[in-house]
Amino acid sequence: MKRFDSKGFTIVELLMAMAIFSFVMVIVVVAFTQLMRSYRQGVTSQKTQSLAREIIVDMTRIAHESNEIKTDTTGTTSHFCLGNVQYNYNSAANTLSQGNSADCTTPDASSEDLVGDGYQVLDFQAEPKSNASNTVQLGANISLTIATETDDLLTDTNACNPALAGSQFCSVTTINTAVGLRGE
Amino acid sequence: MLKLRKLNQRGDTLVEVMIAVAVLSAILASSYTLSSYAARLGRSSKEHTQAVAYAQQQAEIIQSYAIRDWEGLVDILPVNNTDSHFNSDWEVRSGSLTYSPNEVAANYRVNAILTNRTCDGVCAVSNPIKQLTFHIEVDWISASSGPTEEDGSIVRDSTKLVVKVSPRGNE
Repeated sequence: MKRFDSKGFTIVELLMAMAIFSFVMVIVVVAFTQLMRSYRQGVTSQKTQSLAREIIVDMTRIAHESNEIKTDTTGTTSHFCLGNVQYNYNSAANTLSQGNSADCTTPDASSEDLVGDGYQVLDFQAEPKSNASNTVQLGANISLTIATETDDLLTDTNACNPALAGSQFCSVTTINTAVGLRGE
Repeated sequence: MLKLRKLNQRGDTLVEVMIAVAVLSAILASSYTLSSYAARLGRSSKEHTQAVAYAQQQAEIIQSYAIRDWEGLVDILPVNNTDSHFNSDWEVRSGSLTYSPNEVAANYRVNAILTNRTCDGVCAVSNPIKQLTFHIEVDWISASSGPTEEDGSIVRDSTKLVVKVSPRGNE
């Protein structure tokens, strides 16, 4: 070895190289963690948004086939009926179900929850609208708020708290839209 | 200590150091510009999506009005074609809307302007309207351009949608 006359590193040089290397590694790890976090956040909000949009698109289609809107309330459950289809929003259980309507009061046996496990309906409002002379029903303004079932990550105003750990698994989305009646 | 000094080389010249600093700052400045541009682009695309949603909401209202109450719609519309005839609520109205949080939403303004009435010949009682054309315009104060209007950096953006409606059973 001595014949090659290689002087080797001093301990100071070695320490400095290790310090620089670990500094770079820390930056890489932090960047990677952030990347994964925003990826998960994106996936979560994409799922929440497409769930909300699915419900609204279906509701619009049903409204286009209907010619009558009815609303009613029993306890914490509000009913919204488009023709023969009845939506029930339970503001205590945060669920929205869809079934057949007879008189737009008690949900019938065919009612099924529209949002599956892991999601909840924070708000659902339907406001029927009529024409200027108030003689013909035209449609309704709809407001639907869907969130992930992570109540501990929500603030008092039903928004996700980004400061909390695990907030990448939290998402709240609201759709405000108008659905018009087009049935005969 | 003496040994270390022996090892010392001449080091870099001032010019070399300045060139290195200049190259580094050029790289940093361009990456900052790129990231802030990307952020602004993202916000602007979000605003556009929101505006299109408002326009489609207005189109849905006009279409359902035409299908459910064509006579009422034709009766209500003002003669002056340059006015806005709807607000985002379901009422027909005249005059243009103003920016206010009580309108559609903060910073957004929706105008539905009747641009054309089509009849067989001249529109009259004997020649009923066969088609109405609305231009739905959504304009808004873009939050991606600057914080406040006082800065003078405010930019208004807008998007348009054309809706044609006919009475039922009419081609």
